[in-house]
Amino acid sequence: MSRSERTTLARALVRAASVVLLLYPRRFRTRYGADMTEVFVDVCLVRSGGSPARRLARAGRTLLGMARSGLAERLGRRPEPHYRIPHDRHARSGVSLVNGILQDVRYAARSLRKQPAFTALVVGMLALGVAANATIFSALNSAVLRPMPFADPDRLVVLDEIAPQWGLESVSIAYPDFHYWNERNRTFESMAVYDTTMFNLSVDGRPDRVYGARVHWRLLHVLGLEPVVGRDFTAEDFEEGAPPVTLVSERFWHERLGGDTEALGSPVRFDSREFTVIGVYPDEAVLPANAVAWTLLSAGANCCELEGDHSWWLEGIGRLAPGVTIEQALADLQAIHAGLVPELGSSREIATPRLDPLHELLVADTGPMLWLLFGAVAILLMIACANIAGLMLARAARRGREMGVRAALGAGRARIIRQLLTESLLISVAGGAVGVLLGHLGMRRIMAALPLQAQGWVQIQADWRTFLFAIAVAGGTAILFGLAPALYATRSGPQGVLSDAGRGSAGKGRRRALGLLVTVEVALAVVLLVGAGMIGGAFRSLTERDLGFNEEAFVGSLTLPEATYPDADARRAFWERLDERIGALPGVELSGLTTLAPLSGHTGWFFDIEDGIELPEEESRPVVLTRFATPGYLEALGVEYLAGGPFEAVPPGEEEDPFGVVVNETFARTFWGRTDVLGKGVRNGDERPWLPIVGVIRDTRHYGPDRPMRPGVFMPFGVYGQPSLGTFALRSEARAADQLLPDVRAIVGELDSDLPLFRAGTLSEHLGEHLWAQRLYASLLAAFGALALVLALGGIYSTLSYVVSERRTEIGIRMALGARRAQVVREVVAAGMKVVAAGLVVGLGLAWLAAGAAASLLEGANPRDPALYAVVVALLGAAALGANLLPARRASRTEPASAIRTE
Amino acid sequence: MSRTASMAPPLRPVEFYVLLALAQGETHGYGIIQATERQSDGRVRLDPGTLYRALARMQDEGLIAESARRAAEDLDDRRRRYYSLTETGRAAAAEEARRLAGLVRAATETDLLDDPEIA
Repeated sequence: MSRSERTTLARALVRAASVVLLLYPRRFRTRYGADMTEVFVDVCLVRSGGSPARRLARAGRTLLGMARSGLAERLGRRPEPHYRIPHDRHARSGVSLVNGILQDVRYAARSLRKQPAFTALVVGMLALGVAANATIFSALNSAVLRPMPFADPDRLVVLDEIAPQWGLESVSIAYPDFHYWNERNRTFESMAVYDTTMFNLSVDGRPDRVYGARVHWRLLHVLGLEPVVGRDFTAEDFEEGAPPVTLVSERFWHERLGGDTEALGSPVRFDSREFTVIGVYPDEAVLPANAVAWTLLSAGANCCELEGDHSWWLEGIGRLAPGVTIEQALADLQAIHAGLVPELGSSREIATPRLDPLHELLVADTGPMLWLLFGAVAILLMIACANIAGLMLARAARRGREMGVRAALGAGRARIIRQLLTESLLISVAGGAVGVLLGHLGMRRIMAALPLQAQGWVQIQADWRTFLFAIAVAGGTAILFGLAPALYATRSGPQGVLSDAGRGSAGKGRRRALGLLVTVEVALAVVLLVGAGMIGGAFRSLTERDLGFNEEAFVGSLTLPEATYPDADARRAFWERLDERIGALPGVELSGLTTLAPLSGHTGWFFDIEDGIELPEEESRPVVLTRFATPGYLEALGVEYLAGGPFEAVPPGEEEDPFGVVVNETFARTFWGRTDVLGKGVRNGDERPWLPIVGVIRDTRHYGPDRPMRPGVFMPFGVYGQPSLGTFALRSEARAADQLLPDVRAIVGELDSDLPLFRAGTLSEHLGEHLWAQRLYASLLAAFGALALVLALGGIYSTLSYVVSERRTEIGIRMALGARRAQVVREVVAAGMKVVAAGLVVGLGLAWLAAGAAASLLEGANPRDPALYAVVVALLGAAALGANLLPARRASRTEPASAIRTE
Repeated sequence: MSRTASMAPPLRPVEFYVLLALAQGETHGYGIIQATERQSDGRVRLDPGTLYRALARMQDEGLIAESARRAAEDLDDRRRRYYSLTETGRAAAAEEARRLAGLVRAATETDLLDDPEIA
């Protein structure tokens, strides 16, 4: 460059600089302006560097920097270290980004590995929270959210009948009704009925009892499914006299028939009858629940005639025609049904069609509870995240020096934040992975714990939605607890981070944040514990309710198949021998037989009443729970008499004569309005004689502690025919149920080796099974509550430990100046308990609101139980005190000299 | 307000560079920029604005002082301000150097110095 060129350029630069210098305050400009201009010109001219364009660019950049500094000086802000670092050679390409991330990951892994306790703790807590969430979400998913596995499930409706006058919301369907609905409707594409039942299955000489269904031939079609192998039922199979055929489930096919297509066409024996396997239906056929095999309704007796007496006993399902609403379909069926009155009688005016969307029925009971559990688990996760955030915050403080060095040696703030965020992401990925695994195992555990009848429709499976959810939770927490401490730690630049932790405003802000986290944790823990306590209380009140019978009674059931017990005499002989042999067992004090034990279902008859009171129109003919029993059974059951006593057994041949019956309290009050009704007559149908009431018993809660009881009657065993399904009951003081079971099995085996004994157990075990859902919820919530408590205590402890370690100097000084140990402990604990107390107060308020809302979903739940709140507060408060005491004691043992010296 | 070395919080990087440059002898603003660039192998280039703001502050704090010397001969015979270290400034720089050395030592014991960005 020639001299004149330089001069020209120099002058231009000077002019540019003088403009920029205007940004500086006047005093500064006066003092340093000249020097700065000279330096600027020198920097631009002397630096060698190629094209004029590049020089221009450099000049521009420098001017920009000066302008920024000018503004900063004017605003009085401290200058940032605005020196230019030449970019890495790689910086321009995308490779550097990937390399940078890989580097971050490696570095993060290394630094996490170096603190195994911290890492394990954080990953563990996150895994716990994610596992709980994933488990409950899976349950929610499969029970509520996931579409049903049928084709076009929204068009499926449940068929039923309703009879308010009988006091029944769900009557079941009588076959002739179904027949005419099916034939005459114009709103359904197809419909089918079925009955869930149990078969005695005989394989390899070993009798077994399995769940099955007797179905209408179109059932698979209605569900929109096709056989996996083989063929579906046809109309020909359903005709009278057709050879008996069966469809089996996939699982049955794999487990019992070897999964072999050769099995098609081979016979299986259900209830001592041979059926030919013609096909396999897919596992998606979750209706009828739990069935391993389907046989046709027509194969059984008394099914499908259209004349004669009928029972209402079938379940039904229908597929609406496209475009038809459920209201239209109901109107259609009701019209058809009204037309049946002349043919089938006035009962068709009382029991009328009822339709419900399939989805509602499958989900009805569980939906709200699952959402409740979901809320609980979300709270648990929040507590875990609060813990983790606190740990990360404390860790970030301790790593201040490391960050400072990195910053001072050139790493930008963005880079440092990226580094810390990578660590958080790594933790989250690890926590999420472990959590999903734990959740999967947990689900399997819960599934295994469910009683058999629940397992059918509660098929908890993890699908992509669960994983997505787990990842969202894990990723969300990464951002939540990774970013905040990272921003916090680097906000004041490297010098801020290099300054000693614990001093001044940075330390105080951190301590306040930690205190806030503790408050939040404690509040959440209170809410969860109150919820758990409330539901636990509701469950306990259910189980403690007096059932009106002795739960220690040991029962078991048997069915006598038609093939081997074709007539009443054969059955009577069996029952008599069974009763005798069981009664003769050593240690058995009371025993008897019945047709229906508590918690085993329902059989309803109608009775005429002698001199009864006027009944309201809507419930003019209540259905009566009808059971047949031996007098010994009533004793074994332990019923309590309000009046009178048991009936006598009826000798064979005298069934036509009047015999005594026993009714329950509800029966007496319903029909006569009082309980002293001894001698009053009841009868089932005109052709039968009036039967005198000889005893009135206190209600037995036949349907469970959570369901109301209806009018019930006991009649002597065998008077209206010998049953094919019977249950024995026995009581023994001396021997336990599991000792008696093999003896009873032996007796049954001797009497008939082909008969399996099923549903054997004490009534209290049956009660437990009946309440499986409530128990599951109560247990889960209790577990969550305990976890929340542990996590919250952990948070309290670690927070106070950290705060104490930060303020070691201060404590040391105070002790050096004469403060006594006890005083220090007191003050530290007081400081710690202050945030805990705040959390308790907030938590109580939240719990009050939440419990009120949740209680509406559960019966028996008392949301305003003062004892519950008191217990929770006391428990948390005491535990928190302990958690605060330990670090406080440690603080009081500080050697004053060493504490000060270390600083 | 001048500060005593023993109470000094850590120096800002700019300030340290200035003190480092002046430790080798009095110089003017541009000289400081040149010295810094040389010492850092071209990685650190001070901006005039930043530099002079730092110089202003460091003067207020008593770390540096304007030197009496003026350039006797110069390329274009311009008058520039020269700066030199004060005792306080020298002590502060020494303290900072010691502190940084300690940090580097600590960093060496960890894996930080494996990181090519830093090394």
